[in-house]
Amino acid sequence: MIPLLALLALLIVIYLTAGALILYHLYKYRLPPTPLLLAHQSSDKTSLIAGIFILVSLAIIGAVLWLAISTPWGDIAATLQSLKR
Amino acid sequence: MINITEQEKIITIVRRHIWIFASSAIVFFTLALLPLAVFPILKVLLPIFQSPLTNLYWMLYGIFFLFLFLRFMIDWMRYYLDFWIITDRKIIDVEFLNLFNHKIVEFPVSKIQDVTVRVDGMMPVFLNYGDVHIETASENTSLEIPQIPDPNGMKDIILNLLTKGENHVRTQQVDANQA
Repeated sequence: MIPLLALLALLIVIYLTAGALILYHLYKYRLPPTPLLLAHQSSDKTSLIAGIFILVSLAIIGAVLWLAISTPWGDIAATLQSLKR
Repeated sequence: MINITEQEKIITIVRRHIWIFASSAIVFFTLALLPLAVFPILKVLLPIFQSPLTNLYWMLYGIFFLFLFLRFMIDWMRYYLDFWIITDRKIIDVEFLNLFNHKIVEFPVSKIQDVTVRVDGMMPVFLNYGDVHIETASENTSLEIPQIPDPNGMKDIILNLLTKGENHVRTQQVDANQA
């Protein structure tokens, strides 16, 4: 099960890198909040969306890690072995 | 970055029609909810899906959801960071192509030569969105404003700006001749 856990860790690292890139872009290229531009926008939703993105990501990553820790990997290996037979 | 002077007047800021983002949101929610709906059926049909394989299922679903969510975020960014600012002097095209490709182009209103509107397809006709194609005499010869709501209204705004600009130039010429 070690390859599976390594793959899991790799996917989470890739996700975090992409997520960081997205947040960087979101803040760098959003409309500058000058009064002139804000007069034409009801509100700037960048912070709200970034907040939702961070919270959901952390919640899911936390759940995945908790599942990885609490999973009886020996039982899964035995189940998969019995399936092969 | 975006250059707008204090003397300039912003007429409108336009993004793609909300349906463009909503359609990708529908795909996201369908794909995200599908494994949740399928799980009880799998549990009844396949006894192997009883614990401990349940944990593995949810773990794989978690990873799948994360990448689906990433895709959804990129779609939202494409909707939110792709916009056009129409001022009384220029059109600013801010394009988010992908995470490593971002483009800002300015087109002076005085250089606009031709404006074409295209509403093509069932949804664009029902929801009144379409493309506005602008031909200019500047270095960047053409500008496409795709899938915006009320493209005919946008065409009118641009043509009005053009007319006002021409009148302004004519008035200046008359003033110069009189002087």
